[in-house]
Amino acid sequence: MDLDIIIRKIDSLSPVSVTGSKVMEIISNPESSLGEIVDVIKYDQGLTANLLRLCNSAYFGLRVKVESISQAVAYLGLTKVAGVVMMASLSKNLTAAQKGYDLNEGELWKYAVSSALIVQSLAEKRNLGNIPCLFTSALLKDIGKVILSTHIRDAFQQIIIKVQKEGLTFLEAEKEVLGIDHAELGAMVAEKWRFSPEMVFIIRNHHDPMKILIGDDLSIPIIYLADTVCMMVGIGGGADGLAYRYYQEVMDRLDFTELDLQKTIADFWEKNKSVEEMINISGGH
Amino acid sequence: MSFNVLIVDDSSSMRAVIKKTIRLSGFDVGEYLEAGDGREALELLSNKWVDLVLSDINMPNMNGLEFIAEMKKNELFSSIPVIMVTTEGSEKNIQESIRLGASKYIKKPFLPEDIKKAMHSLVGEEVRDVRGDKESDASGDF
Amino acid sequence: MEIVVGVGDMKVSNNPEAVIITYALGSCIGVAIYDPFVKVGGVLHYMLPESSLDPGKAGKNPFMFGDTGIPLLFKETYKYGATKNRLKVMVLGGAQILDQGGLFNIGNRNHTILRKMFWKNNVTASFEDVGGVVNRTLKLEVKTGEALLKISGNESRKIPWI
Repeated sequence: MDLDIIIRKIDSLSPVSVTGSKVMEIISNPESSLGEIVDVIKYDQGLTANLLRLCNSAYFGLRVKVESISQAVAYLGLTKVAGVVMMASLSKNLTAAQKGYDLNEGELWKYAVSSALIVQSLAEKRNLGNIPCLFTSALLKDIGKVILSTHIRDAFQQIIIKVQKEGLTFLEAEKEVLGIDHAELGAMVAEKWRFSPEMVFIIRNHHDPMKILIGDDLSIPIIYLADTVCMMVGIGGGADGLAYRYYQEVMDRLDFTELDLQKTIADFWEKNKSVEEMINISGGH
Repeated sequence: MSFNVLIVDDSSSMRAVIKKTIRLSGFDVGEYLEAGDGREALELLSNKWVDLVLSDINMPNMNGLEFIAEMKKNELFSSIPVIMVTTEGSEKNIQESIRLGASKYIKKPFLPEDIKKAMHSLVGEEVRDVRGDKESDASGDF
Repeated sequence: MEIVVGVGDMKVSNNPEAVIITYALGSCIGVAIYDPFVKVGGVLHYMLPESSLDPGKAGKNPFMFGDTGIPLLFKETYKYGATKNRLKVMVLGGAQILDQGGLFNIGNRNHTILRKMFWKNNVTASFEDVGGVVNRTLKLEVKTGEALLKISGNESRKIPWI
């Protein structure tokens, strides 16, 4: 059965490095302290080097060149450093082209990083407590596309007809034609990689913001919003384009006005060049 | 860039009420245009840019439904949003106006809130003419 | 030779070797203009409708907004000898999320500001492909004015606009 073949492909993804896994565990666990990250990564020279390059990139606007992890933490804070570590750890799986989705090399990764950075900035403004979780969920939310890409390519005509003629979202069309969609798959990957149940839930429902996270109203709305902003600006726009559903309720729940949306777009664009630089560094170019 | 509104109603006092309501809502409208029937309204649309139309249904010469049908046929005006503001509360007329392309439907008598909400949802929450120069702006010409 | 127009960007060229390209116009609007007599082409890719949102940003990058970008696009081509009455105009983009309706519909707002500016300046588009839930990419060949439009999910196609 095709579905089994698809699901088994989860195993073929590049395993996250040992260091990366440990950091993910720390991030996923609400009981652990982010400071533990420093102890874990200092032994991984490659990761540390990458981390420092990213911290020194124009995006963070540091005036001083950071030369050690503790310096990075001192200047950027643990939350941002955790995010950068996750970028360095997860890029390998997300930088390739995904032909089924009409995404060239680097485009899926650009989408991942852009949405994660927007999530970070929206979450910071609201003083949310679980920013590294949200950041990582945003980075990883479309990993399902990596697995589905060849299947999408093979069944493309069937899928696109459902979008064009029946008004289905691309996600709904994936599900109807292939039996599974990229959000479900992404959640399975997150589960396999031992992300927290909250992060798995977020990834599973990032296109379905009407699902409320128990005890936490804003995680999915913020990720959904960041995703929407990226789509509007054409980031990550592959064969699926903007064929996802709009929910005004999300904007209302976030108290987000249209002006806020326009300002977010304008602000993100301003950082565009520095985001590009980060993407290049983290993508290993 | 000023924001212009066209009010179409055969009663001049009703047009004044709508105008006042819009003003009180805080929308910074550049120019209010007025027409007594659909035909006059189409004439005005051909000569001046309009960002939003509010129209009654029951009017002589060309009623609101005929007007909106004509408007939507013309490529120049078809994307301009139209709010029907009318005593005509029959389900049939509501359906028909929406079918013909009206974006919103408000029944008279209306509260100022009704107009404000309808405009908000169509044109956004703020309409500001920052430069304050209602005449054609030099940098906007090409 | 490829000239890429990024998001919030504008490029004009009369170089016969040049192909002006802009990618992934989601809700953004891409305006392409071409004067077949002097063979000058230009493309603007703007993200937001009105510069009053943030005059500071508009000052730094007028191509981010329709109301500041559109006049500059036209005026730049005039420097190369293009004239308004000869210029062909193509408008693409302004896509929206499914079921978006009127609210937060940046694609729609972007399109509306363009219609307003065209109206005020007596300009009519020769070709428009706006709205829907698709991403669009445009390639404009300066030598011939030939335009290729790629809509997500479909093959590229030549646009009959000259």
